[in-house]
Amino acid sequence: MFSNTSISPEDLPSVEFLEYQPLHPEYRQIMILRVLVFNAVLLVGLILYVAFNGVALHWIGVIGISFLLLVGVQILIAYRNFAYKGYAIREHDLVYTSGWLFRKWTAISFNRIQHSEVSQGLIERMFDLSTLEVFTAGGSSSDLKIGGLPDKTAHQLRDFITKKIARDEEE
Amino acid sequence: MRKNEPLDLHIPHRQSPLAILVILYEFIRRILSAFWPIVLIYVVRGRTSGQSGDPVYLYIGIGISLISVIGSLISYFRYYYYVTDTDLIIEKGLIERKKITVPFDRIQTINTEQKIIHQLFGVVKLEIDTAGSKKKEIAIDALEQGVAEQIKSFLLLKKKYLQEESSKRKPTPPSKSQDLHQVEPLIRLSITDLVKIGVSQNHIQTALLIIGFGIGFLDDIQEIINFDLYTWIQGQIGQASASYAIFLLMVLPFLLLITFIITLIRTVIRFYHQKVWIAGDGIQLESGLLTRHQSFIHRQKIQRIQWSQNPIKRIFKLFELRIYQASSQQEHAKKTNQIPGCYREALEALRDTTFPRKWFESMDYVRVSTQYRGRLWLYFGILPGILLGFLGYLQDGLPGLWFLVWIPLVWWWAGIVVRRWHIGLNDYALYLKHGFWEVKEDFIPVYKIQAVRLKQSPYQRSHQLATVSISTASGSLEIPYLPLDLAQRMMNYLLFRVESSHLAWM
Repeated sequence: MFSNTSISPEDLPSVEFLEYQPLHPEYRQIMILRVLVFNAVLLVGLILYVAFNGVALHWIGVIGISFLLLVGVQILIAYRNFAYKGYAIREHDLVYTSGWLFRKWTAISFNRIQHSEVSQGLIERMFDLSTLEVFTAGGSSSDLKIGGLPDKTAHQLRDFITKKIARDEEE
Repeated sequence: MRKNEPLDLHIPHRQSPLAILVILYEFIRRILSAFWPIVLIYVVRGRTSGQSGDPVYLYIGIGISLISVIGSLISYFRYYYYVTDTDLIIEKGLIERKKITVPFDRIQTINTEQKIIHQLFGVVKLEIDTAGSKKKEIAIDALEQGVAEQIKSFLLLKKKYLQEESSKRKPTPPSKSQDLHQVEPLIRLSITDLVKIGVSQNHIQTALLIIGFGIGFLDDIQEIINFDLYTWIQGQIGQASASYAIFLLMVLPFLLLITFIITLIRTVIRFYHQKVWIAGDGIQLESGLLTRHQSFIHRQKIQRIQWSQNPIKRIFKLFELRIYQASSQQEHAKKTNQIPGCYREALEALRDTTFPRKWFESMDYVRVSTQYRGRLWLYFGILPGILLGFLGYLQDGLPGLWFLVWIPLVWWWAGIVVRRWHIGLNDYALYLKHGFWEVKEDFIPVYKIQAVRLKQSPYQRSHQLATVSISTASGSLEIPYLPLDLAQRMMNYLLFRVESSHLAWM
């Protein structure tokens, strides 16, 4: 397989077996909080709907239970997902992995990064965590978003990437 | 800020105060464009029923306006731009604080734009394109003309300076474009070619477009004028049990004819008298009946090429060639250069111009896993088939079970899809062959790849499979259901090639 290539792919380091840096433990709470906030908004909508339309009592029960179940599943997914998130910085690239049920590994070579940003959402600010976003020319499908980084780490990473890009270009 | 006063860009600046109005306008425009059908229906209903409408809507309206105004004010006061020694920096954010850093040397183009709203207030929008990333280029919404000019020239100067710095080390030969109209073009579409192309175009796509547009539009109209087409047709046929199947049978031939004519017309208008030249450092295209479009594809900017053939094109021995250039996402559609019909010699000549011949040679091929067939069958065949059969049975009784034919049909389709998939790789490029009706062949030089991603669903995990997704500056491609070790090796290999390459991808 792929024997015509001059480098044997077996000799190359594999992204699947890297040591990934986990995200800040408090990020798990943020992820769950986000689920709750999102569903709270939904709940308000649901309640308004029920209040204005006069739904029969047993239907309220059915809707309520299925809503709770859905929220439970979302929380479970968020809770489990956290453990699978992590990033690794290698000599030439940045690798990010995520997803409990649907696993994902994304690798971006430093010499393809266009720019990077650090952002902080409302919930994140309460925990003093930040999100690092890395953009390539490949559009949204190839952009990376690493949440749950301590504010300082996020800025350090961004500066590191910026320097790395500059150095790559000098070579 | 005075127009002629030189600007110290190193300290943070706000936009022109008029930006508040521009932001507000954008805000409202976006809301209206998302909800116009609701607004329309509400207005029409309110008028016909003679009432002044439900006050709830009024409150919602006032609420939205208030939020818009406050939102615009906050965005304005939280928006700053300034430069450091190497980057342009924009800080902004309504709720989230965002800091966008654009290194000068990543800037591709800087444009100023003046929409009607800008003209009204005498301001301009400055757009900075960095070739790709996040939704769109970076833009500063409203600046006084003088200020915009200053920033633009400042950035261009910086960029030029940095480029000269780097070109001192790596000199690139200057290229000259020649006067093409004295040279015989490589492709010159005749009228017969054009008809062949029109006949062999993808009619299904047009049909879906018409259906989609038609249904969406029909629903809106029915809602407004309170007229139910479906009941009307039932009345016309004189049968109370007219099902959608009969409806489709009546409309389908008519639809096909319209589709055919529309694609033919579109083809003629767009590709009339298309001419293609191979010029100094790229490809020159010219086509069009009403307006002649000219475009030049710079060889350096080509990210991938795709040639394809459907059974009708195969009879005519025609290929369709698409040349994908690097661009911001919004402009993808515009910058895809299409050569709808060319014969093999022309195709090969064009291929040789875009990339060296040896890149296309001695590929190693692998296939996607046969498990893919079962999955396609499950998602597109079995599940929808059972649903359709069930609904058909409820509607028409036993004859409704005919819908179950869908299931074996999809099995056959999935088999062909899986058999078609070929993935080729050599030292220089990745080659993908796939498609059912339209057999597409994609060719991507490895060093043009921006990012590689490996994905695994629970099913794939239990069967040791994975999907590889490859992003380029002109769209991403997915290779489904590769055996896991193969997928991993492929990802690592592609990454290695990207990282060790010193060629500029653009």
